[in-house]
Amino acid sequence: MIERLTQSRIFKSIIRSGLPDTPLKKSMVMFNNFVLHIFPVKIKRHGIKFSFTYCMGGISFLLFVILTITGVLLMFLYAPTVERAYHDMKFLSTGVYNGQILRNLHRWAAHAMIVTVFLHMIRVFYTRSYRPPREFNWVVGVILFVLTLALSYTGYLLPWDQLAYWGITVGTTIAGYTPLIGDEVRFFMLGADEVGQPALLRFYVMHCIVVPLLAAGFMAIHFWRIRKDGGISDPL
Amino acid sequence: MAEETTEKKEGVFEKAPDKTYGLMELVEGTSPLVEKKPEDLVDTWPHYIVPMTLCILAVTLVLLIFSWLFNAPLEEMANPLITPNPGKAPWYFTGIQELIHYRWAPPAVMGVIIPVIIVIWLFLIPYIDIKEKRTVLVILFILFVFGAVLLIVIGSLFRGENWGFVVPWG
Ligand code: HEM
Repeated sequence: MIERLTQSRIFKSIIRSGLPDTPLKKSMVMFNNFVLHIFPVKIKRHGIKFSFTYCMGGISFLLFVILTITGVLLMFLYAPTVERAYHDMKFLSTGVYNGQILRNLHRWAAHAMIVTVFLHMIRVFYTRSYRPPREFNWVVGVILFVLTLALSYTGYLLPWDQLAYWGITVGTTIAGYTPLIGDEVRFFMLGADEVGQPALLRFYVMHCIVVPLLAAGFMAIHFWRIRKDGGISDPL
Repeated sequence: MAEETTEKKEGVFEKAPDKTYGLMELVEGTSPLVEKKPEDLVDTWPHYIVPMTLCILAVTLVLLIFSWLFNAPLEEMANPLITPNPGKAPWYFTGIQELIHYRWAPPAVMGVIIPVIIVIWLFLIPYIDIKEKRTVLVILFILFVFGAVLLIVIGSLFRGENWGFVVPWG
């Protein structure tokens, strides 16, 4: 049955190499598949050991994908205006099928991603994987760390509840302490002197467009560099 | 490595008379590694793809169960006239808030300059990891990690009205 299916013209037109039962076909699966070709055909044995990476980079990326999917779904149900934002959030739990779960997934995945990225950074430091030729990928990593925080922070205002409003007020007040240009920094973030409609719009655009695109771009560089730097680093 | 394997083997290199090309050389080995030790490689499919898929499913399942059990917070609608006491930043920034609270230096230093210096220092780590000074770097990194965790835990859980000390179970 499976044999007949995998030999059919339609199946073969999609996945050329058929079931990966020989070494050649095992390579072809990796090589010919759009998603899988990001990985090498053969991989270092120690590099796929859980106790070397703890999969923290991979899980960070998985969470980013989950956040992108749930985030797009949320965008269908949310308008970034002072009048609507809060009620849209409320409506998720009362009037949208599985809306509360959707919001929970997005929120908890965001928190989890900060934790996994932080743990990933600690792992890379511990295994000293930033040694040459991987110095620059560590730099890309730190950029990703900052962008991850920026993603979470810009999303924090969007529900427009007390937590969001005062959380952003506290955060932007701290940013306003910046020497010399403090007021300008704060104004740049809020689009006004206080948190209000301009801030909500700015945070929304940053959260849904600017920062995710930046993060995705740097992740592409990050993964590209892992391959170009010769895969996962060797043990110490 | 290459020299030993390239000696001509009888029969293999005979050129077919009707062809303009022939096999010139055989190099044994599975990957083009030059001047490197052979690596211990395994097939990505299935040795990596299968555990990775299981890992993806497991993480997704845990996240689903967690989201099913716990709701994301949603308080009253934002009201500029009602200031909560204390007003807290999101948990990943309460560490900075806690740092400012100590008033060892003006808030500009504690809240902006120190965090910025830490990020710049993080960027530089690969370039300042010199053998003689490695112990210093490791100690600083440990201090950074545990310091950040400690400040965040105190700032998030142990701070109440007017940023006074409270216990979360009190
Ligand atoms: C959004 C954030 C990030 C994502 C999605 C990500 C993803 C990954 C993945 C999937 C790997 C493969 C190995 C592993 O899983 O451990 C990796 C390796 C690496 N990451 Fe990240 N990373 C992120 C942030 C960071 C940060 C914050 C740093 C350091 C400051 C960093 C530095 C590195 C380095 C140097 C490697 C190569 C490690 C080696 O060869 O052993 N990354 N990253």
